[in-house]
Amino acid sequence: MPDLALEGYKVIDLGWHIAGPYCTKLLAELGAEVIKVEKAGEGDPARAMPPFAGDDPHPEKSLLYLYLNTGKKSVTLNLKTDKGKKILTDLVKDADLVVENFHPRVLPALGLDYQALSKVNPKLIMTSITAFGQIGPYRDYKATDITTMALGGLMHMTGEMGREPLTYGGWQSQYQGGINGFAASMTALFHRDMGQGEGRGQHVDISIMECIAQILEFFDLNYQVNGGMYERSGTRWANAPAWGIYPCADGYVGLISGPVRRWLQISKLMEEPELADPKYIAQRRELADEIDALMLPWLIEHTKDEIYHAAQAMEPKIPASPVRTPEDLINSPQFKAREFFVEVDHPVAGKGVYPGPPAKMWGTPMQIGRAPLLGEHNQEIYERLGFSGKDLDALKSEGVI
Amino acid sequence: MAKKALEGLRVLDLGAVWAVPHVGTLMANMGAQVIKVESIQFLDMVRGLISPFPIMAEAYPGRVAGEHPWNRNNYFNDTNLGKMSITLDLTNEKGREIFARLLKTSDIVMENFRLGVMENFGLGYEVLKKINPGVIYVSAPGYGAGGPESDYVAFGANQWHATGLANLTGYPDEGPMQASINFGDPVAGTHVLGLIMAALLHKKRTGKGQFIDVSQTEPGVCCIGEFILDYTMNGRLPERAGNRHPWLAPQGCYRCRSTERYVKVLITTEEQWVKFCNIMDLAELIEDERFATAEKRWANRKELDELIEAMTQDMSADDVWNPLLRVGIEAYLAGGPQDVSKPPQYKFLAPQGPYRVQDIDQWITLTISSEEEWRILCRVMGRPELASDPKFASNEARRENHDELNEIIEAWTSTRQNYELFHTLQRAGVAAAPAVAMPDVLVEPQNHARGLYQAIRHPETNTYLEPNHAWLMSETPRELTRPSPCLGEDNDFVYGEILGLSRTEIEALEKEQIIGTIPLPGADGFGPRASKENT
Repeated sequence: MPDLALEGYKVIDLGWHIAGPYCTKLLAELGAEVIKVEKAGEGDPARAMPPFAGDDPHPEKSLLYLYLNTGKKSVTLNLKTDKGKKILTDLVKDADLVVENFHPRVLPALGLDYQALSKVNPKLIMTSITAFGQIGPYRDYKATDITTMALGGLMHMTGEMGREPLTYGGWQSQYQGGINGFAASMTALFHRDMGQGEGRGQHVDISIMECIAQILEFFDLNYQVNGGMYERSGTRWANAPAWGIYPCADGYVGLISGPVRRWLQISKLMEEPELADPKYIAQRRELADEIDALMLPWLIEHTKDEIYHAAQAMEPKIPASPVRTPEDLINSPQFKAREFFVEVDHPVAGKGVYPGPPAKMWGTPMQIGRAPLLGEHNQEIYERLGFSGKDLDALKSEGVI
Repeated sequence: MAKKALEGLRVLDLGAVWAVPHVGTLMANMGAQVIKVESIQFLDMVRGLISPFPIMAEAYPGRVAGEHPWNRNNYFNDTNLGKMSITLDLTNEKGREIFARLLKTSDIVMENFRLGVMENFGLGYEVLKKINPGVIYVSAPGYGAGGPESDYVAFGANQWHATGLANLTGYPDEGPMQASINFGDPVAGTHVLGLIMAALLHKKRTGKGQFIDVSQTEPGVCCIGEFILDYTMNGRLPERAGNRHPWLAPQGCYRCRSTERYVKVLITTEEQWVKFCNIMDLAELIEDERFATAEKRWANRKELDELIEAMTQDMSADDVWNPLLRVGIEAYLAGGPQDVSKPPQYKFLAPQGPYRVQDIDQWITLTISSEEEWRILCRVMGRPELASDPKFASNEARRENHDELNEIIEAWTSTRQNYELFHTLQRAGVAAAPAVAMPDVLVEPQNHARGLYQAIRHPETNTYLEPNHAWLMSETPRELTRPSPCLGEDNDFVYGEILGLSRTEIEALEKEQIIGTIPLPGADGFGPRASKENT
């Protein structure tokens, strides 16, 4: 048995959709026992969200669900019934962490908020991930992924001038909520078990809007001290030439001329002596279009991988990368050599290749399991609470599980 | 006062640029003692050049690089909050000895050098763990600790390309777009914070430290898992969808009424007046009798202002002020940070503005998630009849006719103010939000109500607002305690108080240039280098 970092830690996962589940997925990869409490009947709403394996809209085949719930145990529970509330409270008694991403009104209305749960377990850490947080004037507002990207300030800077700002692809607000939820939960566990917390738990309140607003790099400071706006600059980063995305023979490539000392490398790489003209260093931004025009003929003659390897073979190297599709990622020799992607078999959805853990911990390997079937662990978990098979049948017929 | 969550931890942060420095900042803000280990031989790239080119002025407060530009760079000062800074030449044996002594008292070492740099110093993990077996060591090069491309270099923007995130972001049926920030850095960094905590909890149980091998590229791929599965299980490659939701309609970003913006200038000499006219493409005014002297310009300022504004109104603020600043003419945003300290109007000085420049475009996003929300939107737009229009009567129909629907929505939003639409729609029950631009981000009431920002004073620059981490904790405070450090600012404390070196020993180290507060020539990677290159 490998040594697991979070061996012995128990997590009750009330998460749904993306943010909460991604947070607890990471905890499961680290070896915590994650018990995912799903709504009796249909389960996590992500089970109904496309895309599906084989495009078959089946509750065990949602790819979002399959990916975000690896390594967890699933129980079903109706939290609107008194019995359901009692069972959850029993589950929480010896848990280290509860993670939830309901709207802030939901758990207090059920009598299952931090105040209530910390009474049965003062060591409990509870992490709540919401769009705007548990307090503040927007607390009751609604949000989807684009809402928090917009309010956090990232959108207005993305896309082309004169056209609408762009959100990021996928569910990046939600993932940010998950990652920050994970980091904050771990910090709270450290504080409780090794730091100044002396064993006491606490409530961690994540605002996804803040997750976005706090990563504006240096743009927030630049505005304050210089009034600089950093308007959308399309495929260029902060309007810098040779610092962004370019078309090439078989797709797109990311190219960064980097600090000034690397600039001449671009001219060498592209066999274009004109690019070495000192005016292109002194007036890079003003002459960006000219610079791009000088680079394009070489770029469109070469594939993204050719450009990548040629740029990285220079000394000093030019930081370049293919703009990768999922296909490119799966086929990347680097990802293969690091065994980043892992094959996961699932009894209903079948085999798939999944992204592995975000890093390799050499002392305590992180592990990817498979997503659970709805209520797959009802018997195992509820028996621990002292329920017999007969009791479970009764709970089932009452609609509690 | 309550103690912070990470009090008692000591971290040696050898990170550069943003990925690992972001972890250090999060930890420092939560109370860990984070010592940024720098050197006068090789500066963190984001401390900028020792003698910056004029074109780089915008990287410094007030566009003034100052006497110590490396202590004034906005990028560095925005991304190293709460840390201490020491300098230490790790290519020097005495420097390495001192590092080893520091290591013995530290819990965590982290770096994002190119692979092999720490080994070249003789400070690879295998060496360090002999000195401190319990140390948690984070190595975060661009592509991880093994594999054929592990010696390749990556900047933050590369992570956007390499992870598959860029491929997902762009206008429909067009190419991928660049992220405005180096998004991969905080994605990797925030993951790493959690992993370090896990390693510490494991260490508590077993006494063992460990090596955490981070490829800056991999955490980003973890954020697009469902697209990877769609490819490996269904053979489908993603299409760029702009702002559309994968299954709900409508969702989009719609133009609102824009915000007016003005630039002021300050011209105090005849020489500046001539430069100004040339730069503004108004050379004919130099010879114009009406504006021949300062007194005449003041007397005829109304005509003058009209001529100038005719030029500026279609220019961006940056295009107006950057060329002026480069020749020493002050120009700044009306109502902006530099304007606040100025008297309301300089008497007898013309031109001074304010001159209208390009507006800030303003936008509102919204998503309709149910038929009820659709009916609400129609009602709020004053178009209740649309709710039953068969073209839009179901989510499926709205997806089908999304372009037409977008035009209808934008016709309504474009004459209105974004925040007014935001609150009206949210109070009615629709998920809407402005795509906020500066300075609205910095004054967002929600973030201020929760205390995200705090004013902090940097000794060599200004006082400004900085955000803290994105969470509140009920038992431990969220507060910033110090700004980003000046180079070597904490040498005396760390070497004197922590390691117990005497004043004489510290001075000897300074003399030997093992430590210091002024970078050596070439330490910025530009021009001849005093010592050999480290990365």
